[in-house]
Amino acid sequence: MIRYPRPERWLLVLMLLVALAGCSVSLIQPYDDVIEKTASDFYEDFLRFTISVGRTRGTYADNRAFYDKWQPKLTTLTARAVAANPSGRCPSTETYGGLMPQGVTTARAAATPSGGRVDVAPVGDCTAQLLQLLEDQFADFAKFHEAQGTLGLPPEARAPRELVLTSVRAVLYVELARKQGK
Amino acid sequence: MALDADALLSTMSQAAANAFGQVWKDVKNYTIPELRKLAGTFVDIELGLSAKPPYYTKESADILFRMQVRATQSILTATTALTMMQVEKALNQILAAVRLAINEAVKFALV
Repeated sequence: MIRYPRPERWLLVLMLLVALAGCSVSLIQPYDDVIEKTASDFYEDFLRFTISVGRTRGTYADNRAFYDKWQPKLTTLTARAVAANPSGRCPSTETYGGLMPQGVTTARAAATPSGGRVDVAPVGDCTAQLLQLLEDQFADFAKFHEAQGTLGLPPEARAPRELVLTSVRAVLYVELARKQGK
Repeated sequence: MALDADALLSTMSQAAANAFGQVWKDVKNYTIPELRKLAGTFVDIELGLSAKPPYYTKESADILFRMQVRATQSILTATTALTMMQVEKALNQILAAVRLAINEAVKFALV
């Protein structure tokens, strides 16, 4: 009869192999102060924009400069995170361990109007994916604003602002946790 | 000195348990409040479409639904990242916990 080592011995061997590859393990990219600062600046600028445009019911056409300023900045931030860890992955972010059994791509397609663009699956590690999500979220906010026409951004419309801010906070929460060495 | 696998396992398990205590705190302090805020946006979209006059157009509401999927993905990705940080911390704590015993046993600085 073949005898296999007990599971804990396999765990010990695994630990030793990991240890041989280096004395400490790093699974996600280190804290990046550029990401924290840019995301914080965007949070404040976006909040100010939605308050002032909400007050005046400004249309997309009247406010293109704001989108032209931030879209390249967010794209650059994503590129920076992908370049920092090109082969990085964020495990289980397609189905989230079965929480979204049909997969995120399918869910997004279902929530996309026919003929609309569906996001491709995000690439890179968790930080890069969070920044890609923020970039896409802001691009959709611009489309939302444009689709509102003369309604603009009414002050009572909380959802569009909150949905973008949710994606910014996700980036900030992870960066700050990294900074604090949680 | 021979290595005692059971003692090492006990040391490693304790280090892992201490590290993973933070995961639940992160879920409680970050994930659940964010999901609660997200739930509020569903109510707002329904109100915006049924208000007289509506403050969302049909086309803009479609975009909002897509943004809700993405916001949910952001929250879950951040939760995954926070969990990975704890996995990383646990691995490093486990290595640190057994470093002395292993190095003494092999008589050189293996770990």
